[in-house]
Amino acid sequence: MIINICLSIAAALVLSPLLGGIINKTKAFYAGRKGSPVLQLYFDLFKLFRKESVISTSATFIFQAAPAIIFTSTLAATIFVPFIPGLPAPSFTCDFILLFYLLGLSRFFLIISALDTGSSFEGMGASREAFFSALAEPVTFVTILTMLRLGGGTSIQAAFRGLSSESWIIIILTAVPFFIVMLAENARIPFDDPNTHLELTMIHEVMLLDNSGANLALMEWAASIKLWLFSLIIVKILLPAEILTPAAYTGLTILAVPAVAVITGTVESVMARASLLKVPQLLFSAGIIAFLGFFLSLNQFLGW
Amino acid sequence: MQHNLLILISLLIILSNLFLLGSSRTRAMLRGIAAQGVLLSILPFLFPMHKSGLVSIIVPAVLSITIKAILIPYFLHRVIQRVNTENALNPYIGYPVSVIIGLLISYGSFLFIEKLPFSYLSISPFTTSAAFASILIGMLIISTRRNVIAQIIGYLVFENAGFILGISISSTMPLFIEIGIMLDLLAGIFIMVVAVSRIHILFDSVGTQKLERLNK
Amino acid sequence: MIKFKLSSLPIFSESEFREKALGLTSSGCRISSFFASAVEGKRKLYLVLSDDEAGTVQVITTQPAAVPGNSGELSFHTLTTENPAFHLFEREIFEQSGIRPEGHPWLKPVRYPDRRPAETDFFRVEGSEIHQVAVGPVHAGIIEPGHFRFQCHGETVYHLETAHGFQHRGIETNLIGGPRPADLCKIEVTAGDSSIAHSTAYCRILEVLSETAPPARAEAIRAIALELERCANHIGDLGALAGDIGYLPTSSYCGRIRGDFLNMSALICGNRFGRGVIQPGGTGFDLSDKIKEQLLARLSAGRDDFISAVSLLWDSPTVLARFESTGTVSQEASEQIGMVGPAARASGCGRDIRQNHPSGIYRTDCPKIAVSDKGDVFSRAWVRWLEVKESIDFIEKLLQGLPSGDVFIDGAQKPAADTLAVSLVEGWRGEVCHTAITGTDGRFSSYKIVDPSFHNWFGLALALRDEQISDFPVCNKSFNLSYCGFDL
Repeated sequence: MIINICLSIAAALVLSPLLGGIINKTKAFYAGRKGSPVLQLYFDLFKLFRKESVISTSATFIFQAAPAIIFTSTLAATIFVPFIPGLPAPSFTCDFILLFYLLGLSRFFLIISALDTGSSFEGMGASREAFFSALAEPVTFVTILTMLRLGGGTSIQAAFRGLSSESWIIIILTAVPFFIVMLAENARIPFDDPNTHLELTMIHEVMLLDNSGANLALMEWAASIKLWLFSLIIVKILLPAEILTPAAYTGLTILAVPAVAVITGTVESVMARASLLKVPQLLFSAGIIAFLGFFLSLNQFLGW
Repeated sequence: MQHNLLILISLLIILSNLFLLGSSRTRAMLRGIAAQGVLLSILPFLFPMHKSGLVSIIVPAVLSITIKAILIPYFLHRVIQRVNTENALNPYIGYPVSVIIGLLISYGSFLFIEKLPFSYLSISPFTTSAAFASILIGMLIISTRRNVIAQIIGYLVFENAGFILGISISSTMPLFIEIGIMLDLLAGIFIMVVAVSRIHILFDSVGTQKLERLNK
Repeated sequence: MIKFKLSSLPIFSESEFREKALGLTSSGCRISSFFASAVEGKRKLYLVLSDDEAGTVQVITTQPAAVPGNSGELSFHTLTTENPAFHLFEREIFEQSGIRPEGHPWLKPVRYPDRRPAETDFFRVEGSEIHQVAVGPVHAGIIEPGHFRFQCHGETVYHLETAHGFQHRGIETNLIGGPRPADLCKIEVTAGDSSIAHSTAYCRILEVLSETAPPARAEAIRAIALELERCANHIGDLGALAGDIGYLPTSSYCGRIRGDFLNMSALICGNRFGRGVIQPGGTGFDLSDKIKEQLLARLSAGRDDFISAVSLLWDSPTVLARFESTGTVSQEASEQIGMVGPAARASGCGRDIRQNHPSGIYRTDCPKIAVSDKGDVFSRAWVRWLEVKESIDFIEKLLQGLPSGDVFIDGAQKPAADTLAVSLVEGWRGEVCHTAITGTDGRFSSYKIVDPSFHNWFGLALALRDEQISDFPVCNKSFNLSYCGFDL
């Protein structure tokens, strides 16, 4: 179990900045550009860690402690979604609640550290983040509940049975809303624009405006770990665990996680960012699809 | 394979119904109803027991794609352009609430069809349930929207549901009845479109509450 | 362009002036310029009104009365309360000349030449749930400095007030005593992206004052340069609009295509912004046949690229949903505050100097005027799209039928004495109005520049009313107004 935890953490730490690079490369491809190197995020992190942090005089200890808390709680959440199957993994009843509340903890500290600076921009970003994540959370839990019903267990491991011939439609109806939630939670288009410089429109980025140096690096790293975690969950929702051998499963996971990044990049390229007023509608539709999947999982309609 | 496809199409029909319930823009609704027309045209291919041969598959498919996915949306598009109806007419029940109602209706119709004794008659109870849900959702759209165009679309959902129900229970319908219904539908929509244009010229609005005033 | 002998300009009494100004503005005339100038020690108000229907320009003047008991201070009764379009002009008059518009509802400085704007200067919405958001003058992008003050309720903007003056360089006072050869360079940087429009307006002033007519070939080249400027900026704007909503393909392509069009200007004169093309009396550069061929080839390639890049926008439902009904300015509001250019045409006001007050080559031929009616971000983008296509066609037509002959005529540097001249040019942002008054020595005793941004900034504030604050960047970009053109 220790090995598996270490592997999960190591994979999240080392591989997660790759996803942002792949997304940016995909977007550059659609825009007819060369784009920044795939490893750009690693360079950025390296650069930021060597810089000193400038901290606003109006900020309190919350602001200084937040990056470490955000980083560790996000990282801790990754251990429940093991990278390699077969090995014993930490698992207990309703551990998915812990998983998503660890992410909630990091969000909580992100929000209060943004409020702590007293900037009007960051206050707006914090309020948007709180509002949209509150809308995204029920969708997340409905999708996980559907998966659990299909898997017949109460821990997140049971949810990862993957596509099967009899329940594939429910899996799709779960993966699609979860993907939408992933876009919302990770500040991607159409919910937020990670590349914009316009503070008034930002959600996630605006909360990091006052961070610099190592603190900013921790925040950015935590954000990419979160993206990694969500991509991994999507892959695990889809990959059929029962059919594949552990080796094939691991290999496919390594291929499929970047594929999720490519799909994300494609979605970002063909869509414009939605108006903030439309964001609740988007999450609402995701919720409706998730509920449809949940209802179908309750009875044996698919066997008809 | 056919079974899976049937389930997929039925689900997409349900989702398009929910989309129609949730969209405030008539143009978006047109896209939704056109998509439903395309889905309908696939259905005849998925019911295997056609005894009367390929013609009875192809003709309904071609008819529904030309009439339901192209002609009717085109007419409605023209009338929307003409009357320039803006979507400011709030429905009697809000969009999110009506989507939730639609979702519950869909789930309820699955439970209902499951209880019905004749479900073994039906080739695909799943599709039958989707059709049953469509009937109710079509009624819901007609009764909750104030915009005439949205009500026409509700009527189309209702009519599509009849098509699905027919095909999923009996799998064959005499061809000429099929053609007759389609042409009736086309004529009906055509009349409605003309009427809407006239109403617009007369009242400068296509809100139905104005028509109630006409009654008094 | 038009000139009046100063002695022939009737000077109305203040009440007559007021009656006439309000009467004319309510019957279809638009304020092109309104300023104070001292001629022979007497400060007068000059109101330049253009009638778009009739294609005429009139100037009416008055001498404001002295404030009783205060020697030297002059005042007049404000016109803003009757017609909001006077609002900013009267503030400017007060700031520049000290003549007080009595009863002006919001008499604060326009450009703050001596001090920084203070906290208390902004209009405030009161209430415990209202919060203010201050943006700028230093912005996140590489753009000009300007300050925006939002009064918000949650995410909804109740009111936006803009504060400018960070780029005030004193161009108008610098021009007094001219014309001097170096003045053209100052004019060209009045608003760096509208070099051609401003330098054309300036040169026309000199030409009408000295009664020199530039040769036809020069007029055609001027129009080509002006339309190239329009194309380049509109394309850049469409790309920037796409960038603001995170739609990368169009944003990236338009960035490049804008460069292609700027390079076409560079092909003519060696400068991407067309500096030096327009000279008093003609143009500084001629088009050789080789350049002409090259321009035609680049234009047709540029049009194809432009159409394919921007069509992506119109084909994408998410883009349309984002643009439509965002930042709406009604036609009524647009008329009331006297908006100009593509922003006004997007609200259904079909005014365009090229058509309504044509000069040069536009007198014989004019591109079709693009009008839309919704007044939202979509309409402003759509008008730009139509205008670029029209302009490219127009440039091609001009290039193919380029008149032969000289491109320069001497003698435009000697303006007539005691004359007021007005010149109007449709820049890519809208009406550029220059007004010059010469003294007895034939030198400028007063020079007034009105950039289209001066008319339109308030339109942006109206567009933001009851909108989401997160929509501000896209609304702002859809107007893309000049800060330095306003600040002068």
